[in-house]
Amino acid sequence: MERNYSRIIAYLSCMMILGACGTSKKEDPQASVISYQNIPDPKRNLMTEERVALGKMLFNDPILSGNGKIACIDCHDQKYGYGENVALSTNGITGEPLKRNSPPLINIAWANGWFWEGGAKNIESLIFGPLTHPNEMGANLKEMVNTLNDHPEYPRLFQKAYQTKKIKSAYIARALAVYCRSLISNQSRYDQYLRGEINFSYDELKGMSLFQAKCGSCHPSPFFTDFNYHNIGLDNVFPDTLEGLYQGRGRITLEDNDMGKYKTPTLRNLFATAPYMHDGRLQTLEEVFDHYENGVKDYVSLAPQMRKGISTSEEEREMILTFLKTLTDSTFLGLE
Amino acid sequence: MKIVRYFTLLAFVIFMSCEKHKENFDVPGTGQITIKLNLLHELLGNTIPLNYQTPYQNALNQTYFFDDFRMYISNITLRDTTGTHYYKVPESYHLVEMIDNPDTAIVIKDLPNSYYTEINFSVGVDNNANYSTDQIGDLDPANGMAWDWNTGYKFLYLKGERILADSTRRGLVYHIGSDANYRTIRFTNKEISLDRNNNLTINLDVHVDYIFGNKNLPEQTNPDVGPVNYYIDLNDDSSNDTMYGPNTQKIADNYAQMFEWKEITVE
Repeated sequence: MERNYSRIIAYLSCMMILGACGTSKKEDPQASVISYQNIPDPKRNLMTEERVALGKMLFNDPILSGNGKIACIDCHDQKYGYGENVALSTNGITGEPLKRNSPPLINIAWANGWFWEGGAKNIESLIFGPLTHPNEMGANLKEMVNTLNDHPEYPRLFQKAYQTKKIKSAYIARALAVYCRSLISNQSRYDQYLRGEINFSYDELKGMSLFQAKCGSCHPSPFFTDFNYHNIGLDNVFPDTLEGLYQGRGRITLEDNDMGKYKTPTLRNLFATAPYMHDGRLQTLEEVFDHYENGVKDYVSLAPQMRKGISTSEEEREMILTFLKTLTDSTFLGLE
Repeated sequence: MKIVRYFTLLAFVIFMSCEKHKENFDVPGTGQITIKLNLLHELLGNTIPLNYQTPYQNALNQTYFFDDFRMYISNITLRDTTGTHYYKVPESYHLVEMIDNPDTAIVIKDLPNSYYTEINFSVGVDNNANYSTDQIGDLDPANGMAWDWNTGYKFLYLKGERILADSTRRGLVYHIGSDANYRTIRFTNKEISLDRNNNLTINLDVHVDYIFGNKNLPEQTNPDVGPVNYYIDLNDDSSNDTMYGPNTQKIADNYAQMFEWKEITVE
């Protein structure tokens, strides 16, 4: 009899745990982390509707580029999570392939450093990079500012957004930064699950727990990135050419222990943001799994999680992918 | 007991004289100081105005010339005799550029009229301003002194060419910045009597050649002994002397020595 009771209790608690996982009736506290209200904005450039609208207009306007033909949107396309579907873009002013994969702009307001190696200390400062890079938008800031000041509409919009009579490069960067911060993805099925609005299937739940065990240390919820820098063993030679471009985080800190480290990308909208890695070298998620399993190159800065690689069976990969599909936010991607 | 009383009296007198001093010299109103920077360089034993496209030689007899030289002077501060009263010029960021004329001037207006005995300023941009480049005025990135991929300003920007032993020419490029290379220069025990005259000019000589080491002095690399003087090897092609690499701090220590007080004049 006693034995029966314990069996029933075990059975009941199993049901309860499974039930809790499956239905998730209560809202998870993480569900509200990513929201417009929570966007971290610096005092000198607070979020306002006028600024977001102005930033969006600038983001889509080729007037900013050196030849008047390239807009931010040309490499940061909404349907690719405000990234691009090629490894190295040739959409810049010269058509020369760039050295880095155009990063998707998903919840970037919460990052601690920007660009793949985190050298930009805030988004406002980052903006000048793509704007002025000779192979990207190739803008001459002085000319760009003059063009905007002579424009029939922009002076009025800047006056409204920033109470400034004269447009300066700083205000252009600020408006674009506000718009980039406003690009938040929080409408995926995973978010609905967190809010207790939907249930996950068995495969999705299984995939989620596998994902948490194998990938969660660097890709934790709710951002699916730790916004930190890791060497995942893509390279083990780090030449100091091109101002240390191939050294990753090491070019910022000058530490050997940071060589080849790059910022963890978010896995939100993963299926819209191929190819993968800082230089887009891996075309498919299958290639990404293969890299983690047997492509890791050793170096002093290698992430400890990578020392033995991360192996996954075919079945496990399927389940993890099933879960990762729940991170697709079609509203964010403009597919609905 | 008597001694103690004397000391008390003495302290009182000193205290009073300080107070009196301050009362006498603080006069209402504001004045202006112009800091005139005379950019100079050694040429064949003579110290003459810096010129572009002129072949110079450093302490290691390496030949080079400049075609661009710029730097940030920031945070100009004046102190009075007590050392405790000071006036920090607000938003004090000044891009010094040599376009054609090696005379460059920084005009500071609306200074409180006072008797100052110290002026100090820095080469570079303090970390507060250096950590974001969406700024206006001399810090506007349109001036070409901002780094994009690693947020911050170039404190000192040198461009030119160097000529190797076999006469081939190579680029001479120094972009130096970061907190580690911010240097403050002080001139103390000066008579900056803005209380009596409200328009003064301070003439400073800037020995641009000292950036690569003052060749009139022996190389001195021990900061415990005295001011350092590093001889910079222009042919070190490693990345150590760009941005904030290990060698740049030697250059920063050198540029901290390149300012020389000449005179103060009443306009």
